[in-house]
Amino acid sequence: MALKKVDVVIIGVGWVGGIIAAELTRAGLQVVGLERGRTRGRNTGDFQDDHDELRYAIRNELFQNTAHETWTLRHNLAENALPIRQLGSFLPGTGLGGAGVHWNGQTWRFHPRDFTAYTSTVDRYGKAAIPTGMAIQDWGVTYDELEPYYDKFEYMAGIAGKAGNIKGNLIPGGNVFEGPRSREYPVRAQGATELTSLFQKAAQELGYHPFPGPSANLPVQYKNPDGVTRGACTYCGFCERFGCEAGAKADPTTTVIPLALKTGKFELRGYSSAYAIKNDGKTGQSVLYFDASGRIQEQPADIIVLAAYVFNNVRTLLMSNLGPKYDPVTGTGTVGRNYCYQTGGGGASGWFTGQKFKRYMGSGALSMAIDDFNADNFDHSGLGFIGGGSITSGQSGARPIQSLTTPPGTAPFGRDWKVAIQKYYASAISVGFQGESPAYQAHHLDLDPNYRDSFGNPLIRITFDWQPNERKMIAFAGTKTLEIMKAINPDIISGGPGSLPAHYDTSVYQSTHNTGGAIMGADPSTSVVNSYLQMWDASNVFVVGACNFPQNAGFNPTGTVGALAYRAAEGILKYHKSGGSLV
Amino acid sequence: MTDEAQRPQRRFSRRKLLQAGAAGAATATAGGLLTGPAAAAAPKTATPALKFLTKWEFDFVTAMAETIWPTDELGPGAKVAGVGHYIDGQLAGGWGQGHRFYLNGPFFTPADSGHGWQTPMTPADVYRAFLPGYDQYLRTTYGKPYVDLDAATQTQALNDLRTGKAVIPLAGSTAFTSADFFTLFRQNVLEGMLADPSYGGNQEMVGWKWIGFPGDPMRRGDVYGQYVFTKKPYPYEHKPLAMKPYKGGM
Amino acid sequence: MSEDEEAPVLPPDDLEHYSGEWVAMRDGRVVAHDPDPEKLRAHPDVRETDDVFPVGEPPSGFYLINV
Repeated sequence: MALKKVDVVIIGVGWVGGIIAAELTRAGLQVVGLERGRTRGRNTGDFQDDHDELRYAIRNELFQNTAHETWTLRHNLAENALPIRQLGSFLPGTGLGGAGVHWNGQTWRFHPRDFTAYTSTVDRYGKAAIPTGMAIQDWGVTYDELEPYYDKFEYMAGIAGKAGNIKGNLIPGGNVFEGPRSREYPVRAQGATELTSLFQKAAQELGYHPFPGPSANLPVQYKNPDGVTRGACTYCGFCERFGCEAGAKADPTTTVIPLALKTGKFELRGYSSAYAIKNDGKTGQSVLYFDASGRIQEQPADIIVLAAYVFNNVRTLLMSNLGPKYDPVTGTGTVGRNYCYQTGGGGASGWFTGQKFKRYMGSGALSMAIDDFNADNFDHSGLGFIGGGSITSGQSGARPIQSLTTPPGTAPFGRDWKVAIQKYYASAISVGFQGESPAYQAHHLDLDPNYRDSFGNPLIRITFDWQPNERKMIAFAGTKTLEIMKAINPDIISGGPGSLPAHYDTSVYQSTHNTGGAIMGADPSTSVVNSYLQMWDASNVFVVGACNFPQNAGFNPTGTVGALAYRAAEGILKYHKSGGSLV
Repeated sequence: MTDEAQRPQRRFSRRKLLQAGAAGAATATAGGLLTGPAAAAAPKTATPALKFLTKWEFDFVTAMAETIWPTDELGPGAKVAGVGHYIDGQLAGGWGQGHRFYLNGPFFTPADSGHGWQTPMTPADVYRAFLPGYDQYLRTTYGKPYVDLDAATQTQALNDLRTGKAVIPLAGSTAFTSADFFTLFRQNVLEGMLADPSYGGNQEMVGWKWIGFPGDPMRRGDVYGQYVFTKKPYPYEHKPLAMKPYKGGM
Repeated sequence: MSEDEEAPVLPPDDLEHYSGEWVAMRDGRVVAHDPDPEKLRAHPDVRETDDVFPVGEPPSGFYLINV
């Protein structure tokens, strides 16, 4: 027996679901939000006295519980995929606010070239520069078209930074490689610490262009255009994996979700696990979900929005047979296509003997960065790879269990090791590289044939591994981070050409920047959604998030996810008014 | 894995020697000894009842933990910090019982590396199945159980695990290697030394004091903002405070 | 998007055998390997167009990227 129909049902209430709910309810629409996880215990006040590294950073309290639902992974099409049996490589959120509650707050805009990665690469280097099997695509939307939505997200969240390009005017001290902004950031950049100043100075000496990492951790109190005021960061050093006791970290539960709830037009249902969209092949009719009792409910709606993170967005489409399933052998079809990740490695480490820093203090995005070796900001001729990444040195805290550090050659345990961890805990610095992740024909998401979740539904199967392009990129990155570390000149240095392990390892934390599977584009035969994130196959279904990225850039994804969410909200309102295709 | 292996032999009781040492100078023994000011500063280790580990297992893992982070004249180590009780609590609790592990089959031997945990065992199962095999290995290789080996041999014995040199079938299977166990165990020891004391380890914050981690910033009013952009040293680096206990009444 | 060649039918060579070394790869096959990259590039079987890169120890080479 179906429930009473509503204007809109949103699956997942994190950043995307929260932003869309706020925008739609503001315009008077009746919206139901289905959130699989808990909706309480996730407020600023709930995090006051919980600076507990074991509970949050190691026992993973705020993240998805893989015992109930996980993903399987195979490195290539010939392997049997195996379940990721405990969290490791990535830490997807769950519950109200999703990962927006416990992210670091590093907030970027992708470069103009990133949106035309295929065309730009071919134009500059020729088709032969794209290796066999690589499947990068243009986004079907340009940076300029997305700029107003980036601006909207940044002003809502109160992103602290220094512009490097305002309407084409380059401003030293900001990121001079970025796309043109219409105006300055809403909040001044976070300051430099002793540690991040070392990186800044070294990068400058080498002729690179350092700037403060753009941050969703407020350095000062801020009131956003929606009238929401948040307090300043306390630099407690418990940022990523933790909720923010100061409300300083931009979080859907402190910004957009309360707005939606205040209108009285947003009905939030927790413990509601959506699994399929009932449809007739061209229209989404209702959302099927398990309620808190595990019983199946059916929620009909005029408009359906998938905002449930990469994996469940794609899984729901596949379970619903909505959109043509992707076939990695032929490269045809769209749902599940172009799964990507983030290419991390090639960092350099340094240790000082004597000089101590307050490493345990910090915030998630407190950092200095250079963009000189990202995207196509440098000439790749003769290097043998395409793409690049951001290089950063940050101070996000040094929670003890995970931050012990010793130089190479230190004994692995025992008295000498014990002496070394004391000597170096406060005296270490690192320079890291976060690289692009190109798409490949073989890399995709589909439904696993062997393994199921606790509701009995098939798990998502990921096919992914490191390819020669990324390996060469990381080798190159290591030479650059080492160069910077040498200019910083600590007493002991470790670095050099970076490497990736023989195979992508699901057991070691790297990044929670999973992307693709429901990509956007201009061509319905190679994308799932158009530039308003509206499905080609069902005009009343919107699929929104990092799942829309045709490949991942060399930056954290949330800024772009936020921009896409605002764009989708605009598209949904247009659709609600006039129906039909938005492009 | 017979019960014989689990019956305790004559046990080397460091705790008795520790207390003797606190009263004044004492002779050094093979495992090192806490004397003088360090002994006076040694915390009274909390001694709750065991919740999962048998006494034999507790003594075994405590001795292994001491090899990783020893108690010596420089400062307290794993035994004094309560790492054994920490591990006991964790194995008895949700994580140890596998509440966050996907333990459904089918189970396949991974075709290549990078697939992580692929056994139906929980961490508690792993400890319980592994230790008797390791004990057997030690008796065969070094002639004694871990607790009776001298410190240098204990170090070598632990390195045999770390490098995978010791091949120890886990309940008959070699899918979970000794190197895997060492990684798991070392991680638990670090947790036991550096987690909030409410978890049974890091008693009197000896781990935090050792490295200079101030604990919960909230206890001192969340004031790092006054220091982080300056060169000012923070005066409480070696005076940590743990998370605030809650007695009710908001 | 490459419209020319199909994806290789066989999976690529397993790089696990070369952890800690540099390899030269062509069309999914390892053609040579050496701990030293310069020696590797000078190897007679290695062409200019081959992919030359180091293979890390598992798990290695990772800077912990934040959430």
